Amino acid sequence: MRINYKKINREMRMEKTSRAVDFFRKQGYKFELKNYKMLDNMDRLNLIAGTLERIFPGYRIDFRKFEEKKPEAKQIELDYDFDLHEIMESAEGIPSTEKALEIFYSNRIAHTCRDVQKQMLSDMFTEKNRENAGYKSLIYHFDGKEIDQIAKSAHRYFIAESNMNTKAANIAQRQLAKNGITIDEIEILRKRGYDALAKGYVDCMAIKDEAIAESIKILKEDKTQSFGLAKVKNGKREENVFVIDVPCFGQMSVHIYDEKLITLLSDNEYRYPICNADNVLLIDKTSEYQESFMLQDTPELIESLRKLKSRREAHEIAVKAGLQKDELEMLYKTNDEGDER
Amino acid sequence: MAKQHEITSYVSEVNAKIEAFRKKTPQSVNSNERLAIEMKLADIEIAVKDLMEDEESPEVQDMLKAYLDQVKELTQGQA
Repeated sequence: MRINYKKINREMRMEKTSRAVDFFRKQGYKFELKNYKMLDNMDRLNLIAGTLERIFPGYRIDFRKFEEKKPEAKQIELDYDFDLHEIMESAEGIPSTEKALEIFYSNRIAHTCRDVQKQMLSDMFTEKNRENAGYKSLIYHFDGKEIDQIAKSAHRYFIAESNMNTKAANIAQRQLAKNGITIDEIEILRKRGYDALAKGYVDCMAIKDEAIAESIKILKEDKTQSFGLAKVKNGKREENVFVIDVPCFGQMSVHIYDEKLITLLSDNEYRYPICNADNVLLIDKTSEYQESFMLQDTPELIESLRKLKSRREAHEIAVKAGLQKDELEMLYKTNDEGDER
Repeated sequence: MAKQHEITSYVSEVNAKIEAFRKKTPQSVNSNERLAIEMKLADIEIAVKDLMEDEESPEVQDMLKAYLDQVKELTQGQA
């Protein structure tokens, strides 16, 4: 018997979609700010960990794929029984680390919602194209960028509708119509749970922004940790990225758009390299290579890291080794005169 | 650049109106009604933030205007 891989893949995709939809339809209310704020820090982190395990269990595979691109000694291995809840527990009692995990993982949940939205759209277009096979003018041809834009317009349509803003909903609907998306197709998306994912996305992004505001307050008071606002070029566009060097965990970076947050960070420019922005996990595990540095005492470690060619790699190891702001500053000075590295 | 400026000014106006509403003590509005408006404003605030993620999209500017009108309508005479 021949195995139909296309069918298996489609079924796996559909399972991922229905898992996320099912979760946000039944439990999405937990991420509404008014409910979420009632939880203490650890309850928040455990809710986030449980949600990711439920809607994105494939993160382990994605993490391994990410690590496999590195030479073997530099790869971070996940335990066979790796559990996100343990990672959250290892941050317990360290407010800035708790916040960093909350920011990173709430952002991850939001992006999972967006990925599922795009998948749902692609599946619907595939079905429609199958139904309309033979009618060239009814066939949808969208590239990844176009799917991304349509996903955002559909998302905005449902958010505007939930806010009872008819004008905003009409604007989004008009934009969808320009791409050939009919009102019937919007209704198909609603039935499949696109609206629940849209709500999940905006709620998790709002949680992320709240956690960023709280962490800026903590980090400014604490003064020992390296953090700030980095400007990153994406084509012609300059994007704002909030970065925290989380001792022992690694560098946490997420995009920020809220003008209030950007203003709060106006005196905190982040000048170090951005490492591992594509990583799906922020964890306190290290590679064999990183561990070999960690056996050294701090001055020795800084000396060894200075000798590394890659600033990014040196920075990554320094943060994993738990170096704090003043020690990181020492890393970037070449000698006693204080020249920049 | 002009578009960017308009977007920023819409967002600032939405935020300022919401802030002003929250700061004022309730007058001539019953507390249930005020609570309902505050909840709606909180959702609009989130929707506006969401639009800022993609300020280059053609519909963003118009949608921000629609949200600003909604905020004005909700807060008019009550702030």
